[in-house]
Amino acid sequence: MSKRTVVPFGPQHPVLPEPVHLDLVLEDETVVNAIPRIGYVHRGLEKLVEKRDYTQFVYVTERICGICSFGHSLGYSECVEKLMGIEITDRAAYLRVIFHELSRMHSHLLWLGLLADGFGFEALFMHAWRLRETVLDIFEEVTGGRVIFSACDVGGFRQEVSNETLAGIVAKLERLRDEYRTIAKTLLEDSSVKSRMVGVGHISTDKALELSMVGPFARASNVATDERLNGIGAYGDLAAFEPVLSDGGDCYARCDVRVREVLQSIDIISELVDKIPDGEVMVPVKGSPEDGAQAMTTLEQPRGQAFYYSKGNGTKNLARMRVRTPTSQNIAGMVAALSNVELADVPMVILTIDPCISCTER
Amino acid sequence: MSNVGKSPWIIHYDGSSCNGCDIEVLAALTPLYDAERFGVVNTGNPKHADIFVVTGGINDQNAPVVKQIYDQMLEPKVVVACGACACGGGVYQTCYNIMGGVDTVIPVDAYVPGCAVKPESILDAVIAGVGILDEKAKAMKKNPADKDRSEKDASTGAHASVADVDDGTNADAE
Amino acid sequence: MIRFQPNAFEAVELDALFETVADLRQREYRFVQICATTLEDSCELLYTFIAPDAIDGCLTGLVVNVPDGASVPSITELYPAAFVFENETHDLFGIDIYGINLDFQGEFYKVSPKFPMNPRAAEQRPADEGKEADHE
Repeated sequence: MSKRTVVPFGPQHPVLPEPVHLDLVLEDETVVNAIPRIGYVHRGLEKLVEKRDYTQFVYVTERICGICSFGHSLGYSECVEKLMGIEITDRAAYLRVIFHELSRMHSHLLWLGLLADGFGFEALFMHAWRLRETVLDIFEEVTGGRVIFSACDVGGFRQEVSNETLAGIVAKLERLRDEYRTIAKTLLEDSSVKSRMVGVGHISTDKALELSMVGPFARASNVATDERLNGIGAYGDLAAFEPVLSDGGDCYARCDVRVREVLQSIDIISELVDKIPDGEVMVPVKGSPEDGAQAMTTLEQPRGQAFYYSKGNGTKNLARMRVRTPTSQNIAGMVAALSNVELADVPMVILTIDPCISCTER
Repeated sequence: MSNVGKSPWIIHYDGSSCNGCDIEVLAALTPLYDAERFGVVNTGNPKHADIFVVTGGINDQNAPVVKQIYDQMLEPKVVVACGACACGGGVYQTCYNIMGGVDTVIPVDAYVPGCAVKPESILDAVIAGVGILDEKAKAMKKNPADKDRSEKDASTGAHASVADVDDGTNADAE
Repeated sequence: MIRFQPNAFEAVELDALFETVADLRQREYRFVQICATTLEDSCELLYTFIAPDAIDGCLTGLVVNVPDGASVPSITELYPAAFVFENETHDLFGIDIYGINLDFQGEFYKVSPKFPMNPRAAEQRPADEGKEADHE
């Protein structure tokens, strides 16, 4: 009979840029159970709607998470627009999707770097982050900010981005595509990288459905869930959209899905820049949400489906604002993926879920 | 670089930040900004670290963690509060679960403004930190018995902010 | 271009909640989230699901009114991922939920003020340990 031990993991841990605590119950070297404990980053943002009105709150939603910053302002704006029946212009809808896909690229490149760092491939980490700077440069050039850039607002997109600038962005991304392929090749074909990921932390399709998993984590277990399929906004104007899937279900499959999603994002951006209509980018926003009105929307964030709910009370302040982030939905999946892995593989499994604790706790 | 006395190793802890500053701290270490050219190494071990970079505000739950990491670091040590939240709570100042900036639990030597901070300011702060580190080391040599000296200095207002670090410590850095 | 994602709200009695959710589970609805709202004299829970064949991503919302002091059955038996939201609902709103598969007993979010999102619950059930938040 092997002995059971509990190993505390985090909140301060070299592989985690963010604090989360896990009690890992081990039998010898194998994890039999993992109990998550959160609350280190909880700020209580949802209560801030009482103090900030619905236009000011855009800035707060951006700061739910610095990685998915644009996505959160987009999801919140869409939700409030639905609540108040504000129709934004087509150009604004296109710009939003273009910048949302750029954010996805920045988030995935960041993640690829962290993953490489996680298995001790420092050079690959540096290269992934070097490429990521291309995307951040685009943000800085257009909006002035690198990670939090307040471009999205209730009623549209805060600034006009000229067609020349957009063409320049596509040209930059095309150059990035070639360099990115080299990194992707190393990640997906290097034998030592593979040996860390193949077969580790496996989740089957049925299990993924049972645990309501979302995002690349679910798609790597061959669950075709992607909110972009709903075709809301400019996503509906894409000629075709197929979610990136893999049937591996292990760490390698999750890496594979994200690696391919970066290329998919470049394709989406190029297509939308070709099709973008001319026109205004902001519509005037007046009045307050009606008392008792409520709206729910979802959005495909880099980490998966995010959910937004808002409820009006007749004043400028919302009665309730709710954000459900992809990671909160994936915690059950993370715990499942951790059971029966070796202690040394725990960081890999946690990283491939791409947890965003700051999002989760708000 | 001749006047930078130490190759400063940093340890980073995310208080209750939104990640914006955390990824910028990491970005400061990667090729474009390349803090490693100043000998900066990111370590996960508090005992190896000279500079404690904290992002985000403090709440009841992470206060003991921040305090513990600080206590585990060896003297001389420097604390850098990165970003608006770490300096004083930022946009979350009025949230129910935020006590305030990092200086509510440990003495802070350098405050870096910005939401999110720019990697350039982080570099400036770390270089400023090296200067403070040297001063603290000197002070310790003079009076080795007084181990708490540097801590007292910090809490009685011997702070440097990024604005006033241009005292030559980073002149060679450019 | 479709502007808005469709919503379908449905009021459900607290007694019928578990059966309604079990029915959705049977029909392979995907679970999205649980959200609590503090009303003037009660609380409201919103359970969100997506139908497997939802058109334009239509979201189904079950609205449940929870009087103060009432207990809510956990749905983790049907949707294990709900444990995060049920623990959160308890820790932030003070709503009792029984039968959670992974019950943290109020220790999931360790927030300094007790039940910060629901002042009424905080008043009625003051902190056990006498730990007071030090907010200025």
